[in-house]
Amino acid sequence: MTLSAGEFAAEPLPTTAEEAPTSVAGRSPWQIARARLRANRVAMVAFVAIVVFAVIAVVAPILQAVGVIDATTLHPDLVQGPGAMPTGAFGGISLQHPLGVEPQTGRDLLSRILLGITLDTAIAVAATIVSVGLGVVLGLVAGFYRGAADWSIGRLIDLILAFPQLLMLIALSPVLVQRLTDAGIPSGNPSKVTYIIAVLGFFGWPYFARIIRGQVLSLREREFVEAAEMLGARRSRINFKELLPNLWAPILVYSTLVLPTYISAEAAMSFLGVGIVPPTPTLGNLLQDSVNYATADPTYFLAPGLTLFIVVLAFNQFGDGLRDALDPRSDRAGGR
Amino acid sequence: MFQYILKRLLSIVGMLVLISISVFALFFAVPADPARLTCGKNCTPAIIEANRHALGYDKPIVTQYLDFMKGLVSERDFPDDPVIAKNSPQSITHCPAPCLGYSVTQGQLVSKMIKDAFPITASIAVGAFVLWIVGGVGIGVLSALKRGTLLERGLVSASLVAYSLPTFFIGLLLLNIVSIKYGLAPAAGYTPFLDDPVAWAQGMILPWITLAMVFAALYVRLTRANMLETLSEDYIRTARAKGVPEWAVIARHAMRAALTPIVTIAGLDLGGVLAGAAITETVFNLNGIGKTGVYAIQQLDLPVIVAVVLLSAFVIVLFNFVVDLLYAFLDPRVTLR
Amino acid sequence: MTEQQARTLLDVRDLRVHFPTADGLVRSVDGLSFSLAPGRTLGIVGESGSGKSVTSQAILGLHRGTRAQVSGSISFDGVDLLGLPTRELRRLRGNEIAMIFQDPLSALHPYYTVGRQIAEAYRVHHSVGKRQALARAEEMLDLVGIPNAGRRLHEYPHQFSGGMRQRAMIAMALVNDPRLLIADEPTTALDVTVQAQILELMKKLQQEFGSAIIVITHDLGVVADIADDVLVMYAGHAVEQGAVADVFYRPQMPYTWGLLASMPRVENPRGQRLATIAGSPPSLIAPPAGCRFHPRCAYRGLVEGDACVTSAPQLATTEPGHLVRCHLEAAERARVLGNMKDGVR
Repeated sequence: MTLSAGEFAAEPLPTTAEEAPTSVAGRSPWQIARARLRANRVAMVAFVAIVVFAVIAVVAPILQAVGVIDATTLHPDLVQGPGAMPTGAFGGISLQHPLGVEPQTGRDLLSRILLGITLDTAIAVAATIVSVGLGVVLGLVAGFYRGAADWSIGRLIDLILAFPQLLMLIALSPVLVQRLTDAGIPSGNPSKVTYIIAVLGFFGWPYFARIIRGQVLSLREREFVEAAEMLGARRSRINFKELLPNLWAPILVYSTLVLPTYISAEAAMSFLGVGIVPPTPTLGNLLQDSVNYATADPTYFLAPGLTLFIVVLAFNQFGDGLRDALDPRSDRAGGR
Repeated sequence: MFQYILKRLLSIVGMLVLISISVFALFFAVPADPARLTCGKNCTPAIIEANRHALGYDKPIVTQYLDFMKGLVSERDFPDDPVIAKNSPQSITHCPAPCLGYSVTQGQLVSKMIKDAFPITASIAVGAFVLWIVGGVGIGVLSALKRGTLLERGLVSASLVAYSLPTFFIGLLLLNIVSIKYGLAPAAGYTPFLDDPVAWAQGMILPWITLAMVFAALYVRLTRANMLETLSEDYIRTARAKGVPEWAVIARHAMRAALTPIVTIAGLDLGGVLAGAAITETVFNLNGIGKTGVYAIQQLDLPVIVAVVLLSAFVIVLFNFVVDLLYAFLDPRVTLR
Repeated sequence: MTEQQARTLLDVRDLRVHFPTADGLVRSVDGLSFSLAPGRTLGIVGESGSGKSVTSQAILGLHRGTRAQVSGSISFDGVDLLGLPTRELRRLRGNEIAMIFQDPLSALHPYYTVGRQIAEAYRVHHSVGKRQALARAEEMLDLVGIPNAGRRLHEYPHQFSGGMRQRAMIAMALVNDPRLLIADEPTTALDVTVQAQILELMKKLQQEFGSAIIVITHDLGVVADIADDVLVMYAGHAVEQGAVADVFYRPQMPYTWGLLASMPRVENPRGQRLATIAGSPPSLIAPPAGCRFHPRCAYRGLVEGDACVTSAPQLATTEPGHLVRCHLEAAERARVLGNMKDGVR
């Protein structure tokens, strides 16, 4: 809870996915969830938006490589005046530059936003994978072996959550980025990207671990684990073969909700000066740069900000719908 | 009860010691040389070396850590050097306990910086807290009671939109568009409450809204979910069967149970923002704990970084503790062990 | 007829409670009629999902404000409860008509002391101060046999044992001397000895207060112990109703036979298996055509043709005050019943 939502929302929406469905007569939980999800129009729109963003994320670097979009070429001819502001209305919008150009450099804004989506999504996905990986392993260990392992992991979680996380994310940057460079990762942005993925992933795993631990504690009371044990299955085999299929629902829901918080986290880090630096575009550093022109060139300020907002909103809406679809109690009749 | 409090206090101390050790280990391993920051352009290696020695940066990390910890209970002097003390006593800064160190870049005692920054952070945090609790919980309860209506849908959607807006984007939007461009709101700034309460509130309005927005959205969702859950409980049916009027069923029975968990979350979140609202403070250029920390990080001002992180951790751990006590007080089923 | 009406406290006519859901309309109660005289006890028996609890909640109007559709009439002391404005119904709730719920732990508010909850039930209907109401609560706890009532008044529900909690529930229900007490599975959550104590307590209090009682249960033992009349429900309507003695000694319909046969008896030979009713309760969205019990009925073959599958049997009088819903001929029923008794005894 220490990473306050208001500050940057690395604490995802509360989820009740812990009560994931077990079985309802006839249809499998999968089918029920799919049917419910399909019926949720908002979630489906959000899903389409996510697919669109995913396609952009994959295609943008290719388009840049083949020259369809161009995020790097400077267009000094398109900016003018003392502030080197874009020529023309609304930040220099034209057929060649649908969202206008950046002040000073005259680079194409749309291209930069598209490429920014690529890097932001890649970072968020990677950080989510790190969080899920660490959280699932440590959560399984805590839930399954209980005792000393559970206690140690619990205390470790307490310790991590006691740190002011946002401050740590930026404070660790000078120390760790240098370390990563020393360790052989190219200096500059590659080291920074690695750093951002690592710290976001690291500060995110406790939430996953807690959910997984709770799930394991309740699942191991159920018969199938006992049955597998009696049939002589090895502990580790039970952990991964028998339990994981029952954990997919909470992991999936929680990942969908945590991913957008990582996207805004990257932007927040850029804003506080420890993010990826231009000319490599991210939504965060575009927004950070555009702050200086917020009143003079609102297009430049609003375009990356609104893109960021729409990406985050789409993930939140979809995650919300997914959770409702997987939670059998969510269609409970109203109060009396 | 007494035993529990004692145990918790001990574990808090243990936790803070652990945190302080990790912070020292992390930051004093930093490649940047803090002594380098002590003098300006015309620096000679000799001066740097002298300053390094005077400020104790040449001592092993463990000794520096122990000195720091000692400073929490006893006074220190900066630089702690008998020769300087003898020759030019006016250049010595005396640091009374609890001493958090001396910031060379700022030429100030860290405790003084914190003392100046904390009221600003507290002003932002408390005002935003009131705003998001009143707004979030109020709208949450309302949307639960209006379940299935258009109003509920609108409120829930609006809360998700607000939740998806990054804090600094909201802040920048309010600052640049609402305040600067159209002048619809007073500019942000800090006036001590005791000097001029009206100016204090005016300067805080935008930071409050910025910080409260995302929290309010979160609390709408939490409150709504808890209310719906509670309204389907058996004891709510019992209350209705007793003939309790509907308003009292909601206020006395449902809200009492639905809002108790919110109290604990609110306590933790308040602790979180009191530990520094770095983004909001940076957006509105208010020198609270968060911005002090961010600035120190940018300047690699190690004593300040360490102090801010430790103070924030202390506030967070303390609020965890208070919230646990509060919960035991609010929920009769909880016993402290 | 007028004399009859004067003696009737509660009169339920053609009660229907339907819930619209995504899968269709759930007809939980589908045309139920019964009446109850002051000081009498009616047992409503049936499997879970037969509509017993829904019926009891409909009497108190607890479905108001939900999507439930309630129709028919419920008249209490001549007042139509279904048409009553909620404000006036609220004056009856807990005052004239009180209710005891199945699981007292979840039915009591976890955050308030037992004393405070009982006192609240009293204060809602009497303009008295807190202290007076608490004194009344203590008196009630004492009456229902809770030792150290003065001290336990200030304890929370989770500090009570199961039996004590149900006693507290009863104290809360009786605090306003209700004329009708509805007990929804009052003893299900309790172990057998406590169960007997609670039933004893209810009987004793009924004599003292003269309340009418509706006991809702799936346990015929409870009905035999406490009730004067019994109503057997199946899939939302009554399949058999009458005086306890009549229904227990001359049950007239296969479902009741099944229920009675599945009851453990001391006199049953050791090792004899308890009979069960094959199959599971029917869907309330699309109940079976004809007799709703026919898919599970072992005696269908004794009815000429396919009446059980095609036409719904009506409730019919077999002897004064004894109604039954079944296509079986009276003579067939008597024969089967005779064989059954021979078999059991």
